[in-house]
Amino acid sequence: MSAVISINEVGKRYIMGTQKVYALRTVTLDIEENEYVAIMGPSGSGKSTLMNLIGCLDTPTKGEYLFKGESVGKMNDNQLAEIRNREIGFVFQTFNLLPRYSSLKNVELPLVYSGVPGSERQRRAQEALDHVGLGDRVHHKPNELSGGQRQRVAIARALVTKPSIILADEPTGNLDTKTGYEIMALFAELHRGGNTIILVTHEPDIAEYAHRIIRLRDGRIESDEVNANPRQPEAELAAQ
Amino acid sequence: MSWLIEQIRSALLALKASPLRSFFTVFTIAIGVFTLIATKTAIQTLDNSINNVISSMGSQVIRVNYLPSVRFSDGDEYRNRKPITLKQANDLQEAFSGSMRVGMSSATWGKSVQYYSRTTQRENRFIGVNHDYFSVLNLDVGEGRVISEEDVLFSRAVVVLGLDVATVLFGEENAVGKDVKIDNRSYRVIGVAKTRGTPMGQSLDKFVMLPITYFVNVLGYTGRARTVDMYVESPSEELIPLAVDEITGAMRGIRNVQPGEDNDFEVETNESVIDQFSGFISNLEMVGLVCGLMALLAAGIGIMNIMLVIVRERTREIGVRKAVGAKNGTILMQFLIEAVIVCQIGALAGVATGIPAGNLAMNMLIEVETAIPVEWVVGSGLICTVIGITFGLWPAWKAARLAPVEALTFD
Ligand SMILES: Nc1ncnc2c1ncn2[C@@H]1O[C@H](COP(=O)(O)OP(=O)(O)OP(=O)(O)O)[C@@H](O)[C@H]1O
Ligand SMILES: [Mg+2]
Repeated sequence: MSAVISINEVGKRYIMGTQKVYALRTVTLDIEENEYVAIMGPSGSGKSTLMNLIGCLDTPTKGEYLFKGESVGKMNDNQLAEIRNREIGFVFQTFNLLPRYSSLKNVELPLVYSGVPGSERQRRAQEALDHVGLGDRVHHKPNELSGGQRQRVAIARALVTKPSIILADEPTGNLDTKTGYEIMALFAELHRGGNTIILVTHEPDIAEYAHRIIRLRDGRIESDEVNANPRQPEAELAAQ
Repeated sequence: MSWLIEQIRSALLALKASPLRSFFTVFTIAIGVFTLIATKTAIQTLDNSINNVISSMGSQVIRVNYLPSVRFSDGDEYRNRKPITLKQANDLQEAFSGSMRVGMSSATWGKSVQYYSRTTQRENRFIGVNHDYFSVLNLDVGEGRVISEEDVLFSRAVVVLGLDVATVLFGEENAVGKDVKIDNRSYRVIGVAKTRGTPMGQSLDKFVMLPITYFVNVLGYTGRARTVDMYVESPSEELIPLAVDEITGAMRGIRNVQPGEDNDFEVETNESVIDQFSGFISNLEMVGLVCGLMALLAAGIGIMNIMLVIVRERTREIGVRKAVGAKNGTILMQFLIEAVIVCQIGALAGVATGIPAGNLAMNMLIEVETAIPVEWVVGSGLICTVIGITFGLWPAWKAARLAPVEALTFD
């Protein structure tokens, strides 16, 4: 049982007034360490819902979710916060950076919550920004950066606590094609470095970078296939 | 610790983000603290000046002046009063000769004293006194002797120097027997007074005392601005009320106050001075406290409203913080600290303006030393912390309880 993520008949139901809305009906899914998974599906199929459950941002209304063998359903808010802090790095479509903070401060944020002292925090945040190629933009605020640069800051923030899993919900959704490829190159590199990567996208050519593609429809898994021949972003960028 | 600093920093950053709103929030708190501090400062200045009067003499001493020793402005009610003359003072002494001692003093300011090439600043009180002045007010000399009854009787040109004056002119040397000059007149030094200390940073040893007869009759310090103050020693504390009655009766006779007319002089005891103001002080204190606390309460409710708006505005930020691992308690603390910081800045502003305002207001009414009500400054800080926590709690709790996903997708 080496699955980091083990989801068994998990569902998420919202109650809106008298109506029940099934954001996710029933999903059973295992993800092993260092997998590179793309989750696809039409709008409203439950991709984000599944992603939020995996990332412990949300809890299922049915089924069981084992994260590294531990039942997430039994955890309290603080334990969930700790998992989000240590084990998971989030990358969002809208970047979700704090507008008043510099790149460095934004990247430091997860370390603040894990109690890392100031000087080490700065060093590690700088390191993470260097890693995503923004070592010279540490004092810029988000509105002084391009979309691609903002997403790199967000990725640096996701990396800074050295989590094993990176979750990205439409990370290229707000970026132009070329910048999107650059971001995908970054994910490919992280994957080679040993990270587990789960990526939500509705763009087939982005999903082609992943090594496994899961398709959702109406809150259920429609297909779950290995991508035998994933695209290589670095090679493509070099070719351009 | 580093976490707290980070919290404070982020709170300040958040306040800077909407300066106008932060300003008004801080302002409302400042008004409340200002009210508290200004009132208390005013009370303290009054307390100080009352204490100065009281502590300057023993509890058995009854003061006879033509004006109250602590009073609000030179109001019309005292305009027609005439100073007490040396003759009237002598008459009173005569009336009680053998039963009570009567100390006398009459003073002017701003004298310099010269001894050959050495001269003091023009900062000394120049006080004409009689012999009993020393014993009634418990003053004593360190060197030499005090002014005697004969010195007064014969209007001798002799002086007792305050310690500061003696130190400037003579240093370690013995001053007794030397001749000093004041306004180009020569005086023989007969004694140097023991130090009377430096309360409130102001030395009480800058004075020269000489026989009151010389002061009044030879130098001619009489008239409107020159009154003789008297200090009558009651035989015991129990007899004070009786003594006050006797003195009042005698003074009415001496100053020709007709039956049915009000006294044109004051007979004061420590107790009467305290009584005169205790009602006023406690009323002022109550009004200040009630107004201040009401203002702070209103400010607290304002803060709660603003914090609720802030939490709403920053819902996404809260979502982001939770997504990267902030615990509910951390978010709660973040907003509580923010509320408390707003309150503390307000408190600081209130204290910074309230102390000068209280002092200035009282200075226009009576002559007072500057006062700083330290306990109330600390108290205001504490009250503001409590207000920040109390009224920040609900908004902060709302922020802490937000579900991460909902917060992140809020717009
Ligand atoms: N908080 C909520 N309350 C009620 N319904 C919700 C809530 N969140 C999601 N849903 C519903 O659940 C379904 C799945 O939503 P989800 O966001 O997971 O879709 P998605 O696959 O990410 O879509 P998209 O591609 O548009 O982002 C949708 O029908 C949505 O309306
Ligand atoms: Mg979505």
